[in-house]
Amino acid sequence: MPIFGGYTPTAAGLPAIRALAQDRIDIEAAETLTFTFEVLSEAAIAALPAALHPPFPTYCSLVVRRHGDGPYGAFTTAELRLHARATNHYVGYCLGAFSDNESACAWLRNAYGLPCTVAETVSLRKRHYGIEARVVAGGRTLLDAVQATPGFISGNDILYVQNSNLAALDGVPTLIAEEFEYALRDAKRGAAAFHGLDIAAFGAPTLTVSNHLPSTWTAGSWSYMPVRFVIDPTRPAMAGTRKIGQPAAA
Amino acid sequence: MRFGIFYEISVPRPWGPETERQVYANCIEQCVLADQLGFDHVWAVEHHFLEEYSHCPAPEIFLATVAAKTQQIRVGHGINVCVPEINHPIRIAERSAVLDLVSNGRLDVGTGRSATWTELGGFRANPDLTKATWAEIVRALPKMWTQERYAHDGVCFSMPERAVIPKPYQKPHPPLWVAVTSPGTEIDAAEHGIGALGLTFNDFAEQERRVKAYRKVIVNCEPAGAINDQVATVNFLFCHEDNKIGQQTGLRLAGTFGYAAAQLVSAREVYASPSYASFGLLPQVRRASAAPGDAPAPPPGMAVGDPKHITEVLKGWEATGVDGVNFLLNALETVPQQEVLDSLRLFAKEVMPAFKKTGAHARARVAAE
Repeated sequence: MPIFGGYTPTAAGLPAIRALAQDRIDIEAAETLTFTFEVLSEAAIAALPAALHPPFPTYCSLVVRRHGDGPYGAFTTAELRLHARATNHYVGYCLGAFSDNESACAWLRNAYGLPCTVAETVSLRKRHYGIEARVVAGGRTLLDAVQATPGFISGNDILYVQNSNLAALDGVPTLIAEEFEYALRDAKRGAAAFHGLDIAAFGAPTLTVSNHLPSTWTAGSWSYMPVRFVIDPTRPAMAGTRKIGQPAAA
Repeated sequence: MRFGIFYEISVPRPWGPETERQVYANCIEQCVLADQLGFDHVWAVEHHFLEEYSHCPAPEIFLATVAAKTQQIRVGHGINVCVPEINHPIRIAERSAVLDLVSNGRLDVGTGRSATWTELGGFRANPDLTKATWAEIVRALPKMWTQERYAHDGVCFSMPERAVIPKPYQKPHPPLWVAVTSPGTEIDAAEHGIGALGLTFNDFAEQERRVKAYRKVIVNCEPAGAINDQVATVNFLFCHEDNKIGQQTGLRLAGTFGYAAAQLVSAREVYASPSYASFGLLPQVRRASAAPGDAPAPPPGMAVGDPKHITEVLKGWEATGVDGVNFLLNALETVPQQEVLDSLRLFAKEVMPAFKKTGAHARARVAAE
């Protein structure tokens, strides 16, 4: 049997779900810049809830997404996700997130349990030297990274893994399935260059970055989907998954 | 129709001092029995770093042991990872030749390029290049085996003129295969004139389409070496007198395999590249739209159940035109060893006789179409 995560959460400090997302929200113009890197395994396993398995090697993705429109206006998010498996499903377990739009940030916290914090700057910009992502909060630069020398690839070559956010649902720690659909128009791949990354500020004080992979950028539509299921973080996902509208598994 | 057995050599946690030794011992015992029962092939993978899923980084040593303990069964290195950071092509040629000699000419040589970032990243290999390195190496191997001396000046490796020795026992050389997981690789196999070693669980229609495409292309192939015009597919096997028990155990076997496979990091998952358009084995045992608590969907056409059911299933596979089926017998030791051995015996007694002489007919039919 694969290894399970070692983290047993409490509700304190978790985003409190007010109402799980029930409606699909379509963003017509979204750009996503992703930095993927391996992290040392011992701390990564310890950071995952017991419902989830770590893959090997353990790895994270830092995802910066600029939403050009939507019910809360334009906004940009930056999320650090530690990748895992819920049974045999790929999930990106969110450790920390920032947004530059207070309303969008509140929506993502309240409807999907995203541990999102408002920051002064969360940006994704094309520069002459590459595609740049920045996060500044409390006057400190938490992320300053560039996809250098990007070259075109096919959107078919890129895979986005569904998200899993730890939140308090009715006062109980719960993994919320944040699912999405997307249709990509453009895609690029390039080398990742970090000028600054405060990984502790993204909720991962114990993780150690060990091996960078190429960065990707895409443009297209992005749709936030209604929450279909939640998982008890303390039990294996096979037994602890509950579909919305159904009672908890025995 | 030929039947083989196929090993990932998966080792369940917790790993005690005896765990890996016992799993290897179980596999060897199964191989010895399979030889006695008339199975045609033992295939063993080459994988690196794939915790639990496969503890088989040196299949040539496992297969040499099997060859020493058996008389008839062929041993298949399935596959050699044709990525220079992992295997230098000269070493592939040398090891294969020795294994062919010590097995008295019973070797089949599989080739491939790995589908996981766990492996490719571990060796710091570039996933963008593996298709090209595979193609270069697979054309070099037959020359190393058949030419007295060989020199190579290519993209992924070069060597001044040397005698690559020893030479294989089989002449001109052992049959060459390529692992087929990504759609279209069967065409690569056909274009190189080598066998298609299917490692995904397709449905019957998809398999038949692939076999037809393979047969059509291989007619005009540019052979890498001696033509090996064969298509094999992979399946699970659990045979039991009680169909319900057979199916339940078989589904547990398939589910365990899929669960272990999901814990790997595929190249497709983390490294955006046209070189890796599919996950490999995984998607065949996972439903993307399901929730994690849903039971995995069984692949269609699984050879699990009683002899009658398995015979019907394999007739379906035979009708697709495949020349052979290779069976996974266990995953993470979820099936007790005695039950695996009993399953093999029952299969050999009740199912094998129905296929001994019919494979050529099905293949001829597909070729005629």
